[in-house]
Amino acid sequence: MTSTYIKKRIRATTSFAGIVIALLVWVIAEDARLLPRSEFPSLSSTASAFLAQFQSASFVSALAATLSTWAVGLAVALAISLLIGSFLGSSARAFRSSWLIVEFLKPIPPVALIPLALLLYGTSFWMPTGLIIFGTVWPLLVHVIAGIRGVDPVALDSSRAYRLTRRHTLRYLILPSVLPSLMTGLRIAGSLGLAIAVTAELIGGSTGLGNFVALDESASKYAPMYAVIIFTGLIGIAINSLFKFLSRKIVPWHHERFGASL
Amino acid sequence: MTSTDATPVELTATDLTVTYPSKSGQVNVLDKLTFEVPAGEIVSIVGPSGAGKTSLLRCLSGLMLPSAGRVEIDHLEIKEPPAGLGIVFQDYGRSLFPWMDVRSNVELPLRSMGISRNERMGLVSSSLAEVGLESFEALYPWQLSGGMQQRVAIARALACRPKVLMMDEPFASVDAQTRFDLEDLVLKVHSTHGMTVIVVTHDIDESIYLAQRVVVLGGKPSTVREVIRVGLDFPREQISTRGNPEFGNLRAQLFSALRR
Ligand SMILES: Nc1ncnc2c1ncn2[C@@H]1O[C@H](COP(=O)(O)OP(=O)(O)OP(=O)(O)O)[C@@H](O)[C@H]1O
Ligand SMILES: [Mg+2]
Repeated sequence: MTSTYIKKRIRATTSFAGIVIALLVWVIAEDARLLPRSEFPSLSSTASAFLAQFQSASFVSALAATLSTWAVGLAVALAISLLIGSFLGSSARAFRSSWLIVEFLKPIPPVALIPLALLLYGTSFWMPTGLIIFGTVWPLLVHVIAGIRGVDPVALDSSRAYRLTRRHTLRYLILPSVLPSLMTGLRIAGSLGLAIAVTAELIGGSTGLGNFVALDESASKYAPMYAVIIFTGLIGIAINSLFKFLSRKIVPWHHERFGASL
Repeated sequence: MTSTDATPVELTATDLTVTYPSKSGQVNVLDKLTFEVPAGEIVSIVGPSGAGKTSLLRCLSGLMLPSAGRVEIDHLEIKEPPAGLGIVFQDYGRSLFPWMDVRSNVELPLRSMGISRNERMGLVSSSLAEVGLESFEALYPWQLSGGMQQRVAIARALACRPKVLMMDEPFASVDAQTRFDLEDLVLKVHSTHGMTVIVVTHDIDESIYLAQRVVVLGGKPSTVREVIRVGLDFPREQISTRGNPEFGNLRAQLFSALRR
């Protein structure tokens, strides 16, 4: 009990140590004039720019835009992969006849589709959102299919032998079997979706944090630019922790039984 | 038998054959097995590892269709798991749902049967008490030892008040003492409820100790070598029953049937 608590504290401390070291390196490099002052602002000026952002209405609306494209894109991708995945996962024939298409589409980087997305949606909400859907549907789909195909055959036998109703089989066997894999997929898709959102805004120019970075860069406002980049990283950490937390809440048996550290 | 118990059923296997596809065409595992399991009897099926015992039980329970031949329960052919079946799998641990506590695991089949909440409470509690797990109902299967998981699987079968109870090598992976306790549990459950019981095992002594009739499988592909009647009295008792000279004779008879 106590020793796991101590281990947890040590682990938390070491992950913060990395951040402290990185910040120290920044300060030292700054003092030693290793970095050109014009492109690499000081830690203190970046920090004050960081705090100043929160008072800027345009920053807050950019943040809202990024987060809402992220959430909508991820939700649509989730719905699509649940629909298609449950079909492909439960029919061996459907799976065989579709995997080549999936393997072909999967490695296409969403960035490569930005021109196409711009053509279709301009710089509207659906430009980055569409790219997020396209990019995140693959990891989600793969995890849904793996989850369904991974349902324990002995558990499936007992649900048949005990004549569980269709509803009970879905609710008490299929769904709980798929959830651990689905949560892993969501965590991967969550970080990926954020990266796609920011890239689409940066290159494609739709409203959001990425666009903020692009505008600051072209105006040579480097301190606020770095502040936004750092902030984006922090959102990434937050998203990751959120899904980790949800996973522990939603599939506790998975963590308990396998000591899985997602 | 108590008033809630269902009437036991008779099972028959006729020319039951199982072949599986393999790299070199087909592999024949079971070849034309014919035997019967009279209503209310305990019958054990004994055979060496890989003889196709699990495949046979999957056919008898309707989980799998035989490649040829048929299985009948009270003269009706079985094509899918019938109502009134209680089953304990060889991989009992994997047959329980890890996301549900012991009580919910035992209760779920009853919910699918449409049994009222009140009646379910009673059935689940009495079955857990029968296997001695009443104080563990709030734990999860993975928090229990192998022998305890086994008893949860037995309680789940009992709660359904089965007409036929099938068990696949139920005690293969527990220690000797637990094994004796579980064997006596099966005998007690049978004398209380009077259902038909089919126990698959590779242990000769166990097949005699538990059963009124032993079906011996052997050969490649497996056929029914012999069906041996066990005349030992009930109630049975680990030391005196196993010490009975008749027990020794049956063991010798079974041993030679398996060796043949
Ligand atoms: N689904 C399957 N597909 C192909 N071959 C199978 C399948 N299931 C079983 N077999 C083969 O059939 C044979 C009998 O298997 P089965 O599990 O029925 O034997 P068993 O008597 O229960 O063995 P054990 O005592 O080890 O549990 C084995 O050789 C096995 O490899
Ligand atoms: Mg087996």
